[in-house]
Amino acid sequence: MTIILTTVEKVINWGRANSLWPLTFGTSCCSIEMMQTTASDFDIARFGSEVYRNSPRQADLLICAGTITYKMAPVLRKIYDQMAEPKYVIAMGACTCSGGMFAPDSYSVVKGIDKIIPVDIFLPMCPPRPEALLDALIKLQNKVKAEKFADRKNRMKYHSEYPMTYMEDIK
Amino acid sequence: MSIPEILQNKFLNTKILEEKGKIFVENNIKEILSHLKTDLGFDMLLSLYATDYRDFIELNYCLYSPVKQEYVTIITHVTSNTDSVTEVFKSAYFDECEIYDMFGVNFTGNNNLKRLLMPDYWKGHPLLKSYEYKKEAVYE
Repeated sequence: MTIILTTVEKVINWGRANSLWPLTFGTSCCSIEMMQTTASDFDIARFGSEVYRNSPRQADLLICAGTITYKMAPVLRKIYDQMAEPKYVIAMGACTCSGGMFAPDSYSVVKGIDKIIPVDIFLPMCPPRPEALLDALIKLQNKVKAEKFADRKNRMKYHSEYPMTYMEDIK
Repeated sequence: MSIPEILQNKFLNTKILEEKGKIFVENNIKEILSHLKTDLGFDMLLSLYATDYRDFIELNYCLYSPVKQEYVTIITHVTSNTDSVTEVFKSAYFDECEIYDMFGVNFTGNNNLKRLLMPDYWKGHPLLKSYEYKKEAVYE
């Protein structure tokens, strides 16, 4: 009879990191790369993230794939607030990281979604290749595996009280 | 008779010119479109779009006749107010809302004129040349 010794924290983090279910949230061309990552050529199922949920209540990971405009910003925040803890965000593409090619001269695009929701992984490029998204997912898994169980209340507080500052840009 | 001549004979007080295959109309846009629809068979509004020339805003009405298989484009110049053509073509509603949103043209007679693309709290009309907004610093 074999005995496995470990901590509860390690087991929970191992389980969470290897079953990060993403939310279907594609607002422009990055979502095509996200679909390609899901398809069998790149096969995100190898990392346990193949189940794209259509409801934010059932998702752990928000892959924000595409340009976010000022009109879309409150919707994104609402979807993020509806997700259950623990929740993680990958900002996919240059538009979500900094505004991308719309950054210097656009009236309608939010210059980075970190003005709306807290972001765990920034993934620039326009659009990122599927390998880059897989790399971002692996980096996020490493982050999840290193989480402390005792910090979860602080993380929940940080997520729910994260300030939205995007309105300062248009006034 | 060509279409500009037919229109000129019908609307004597309106200045009507033909330029580059399009028909320029000074005013009376609603009556002219109504005449084109009912009497001349151009009963399909393909598109309605605007251009800002600083002094005026140019509106283009693209019409099509499925029976004759002919196209005609009516141009008019407005500053801020013009007549709505939603009573003639119902499909003009969304086009007029978009032009109001982007250029600030008030279409009198269009009930429920509202912003289509920008949020409701938005100030100004973005596609005007005079529109000012906060630009990010351009990195060199």
